[in-house]
Amino acid sequence: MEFDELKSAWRVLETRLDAEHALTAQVFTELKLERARSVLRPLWWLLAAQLVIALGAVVLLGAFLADYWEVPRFAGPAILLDIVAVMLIVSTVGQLRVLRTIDYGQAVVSIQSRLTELSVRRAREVRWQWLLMLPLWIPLAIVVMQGIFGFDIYRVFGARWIAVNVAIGIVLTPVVVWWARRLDDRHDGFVKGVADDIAGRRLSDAMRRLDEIGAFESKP
Amino acid sequence: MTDRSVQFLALLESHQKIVFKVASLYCWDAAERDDLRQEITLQLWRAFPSYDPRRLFSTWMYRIALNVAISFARKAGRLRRIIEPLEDGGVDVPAAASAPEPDGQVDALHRCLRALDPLSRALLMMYFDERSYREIAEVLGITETNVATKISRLKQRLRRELAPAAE
Repeated sequence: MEFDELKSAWRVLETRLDAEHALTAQVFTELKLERARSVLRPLWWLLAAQLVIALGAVVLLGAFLADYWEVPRFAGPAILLDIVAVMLIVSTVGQLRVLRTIDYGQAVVSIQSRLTELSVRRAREVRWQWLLMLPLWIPLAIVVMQGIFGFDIYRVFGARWIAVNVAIGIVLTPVVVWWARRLDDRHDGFVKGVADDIAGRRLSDAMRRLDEIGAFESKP
Repeated sequence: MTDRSVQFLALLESHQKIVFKVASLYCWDAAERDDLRQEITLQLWRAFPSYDPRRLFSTWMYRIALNVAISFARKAGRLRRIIEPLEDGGVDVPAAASAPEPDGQVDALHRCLRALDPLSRALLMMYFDERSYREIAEVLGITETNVATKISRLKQRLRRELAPAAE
């Protein structure tokens, strides 16, 4: 088969599409156009919610720190959580700024490149969120229990219990990464999605796409 | 119907083939293709206020249709990978209306297009559509020289890939 025959095959396909014209006009009038939303709207909402939660966390942690600034066993975990919350705010604002610049009426390479950059940032951020969960749950528990219920975890469970749990969290993190990398395509659903995030498969997939677009855009 | 709707509808009707072609190129499943066509139409309508009438409608339409289709196909592909692995023969080409068509050629065309990355696929589609290098460059956002070189390389690549099939 020759390349030119592909062109004639394209003509055949065009004829078939003509026959398939299921009246776009009809589709258009039947659609609830006023409800047309950007395809990126769910991501926008997700990021907005993330920003509100992170801002709320910073405010609450600030109030907590004001109360316990002179008590290092409470101030330490709160500062740690505050740093994570601020980093999350910075990252989320960056993603929202990229999202604001997305206009599907612009050139395809530029838009796909920006969308893929956004995917890379999201994949990287989500991976860190999962990875930090294990070592950070103890500082979170210390602050939440003390701040809301006045329940001093140090006094009830003791410093050794806290140290052991933090250590378990730190040790378990590479174990979870190892498990995530081993989880193959026979698994599916939510667990596989989380494993893909943790193992960095989504990140490397997005980075590969970004390289692909860069190669396409660069001069031959 | 408002004036804006009437104007949009007229432009859409005169260029609706673009929507059909792009959808057929990025979605192999008939149901997904319908969804994609609707999605493209919705996004065209949504972006219509920003359309500059001094520029070609087809260029603007290609940009939106391709941007929506590539994003849609990526999401659908991810979902499909989760739900069921796509088999090699899973291409759902629009059926012939009446007379028997050279299905072998159409299948070969689909195989070739499917093997390409989404941007090269867009490039080849517009080339087959006899769009000028200038318009292709404008839609994709690369230089005309780059378009010419890429088309030449794609031709070479496809010739190489098609050669064994003829033997």
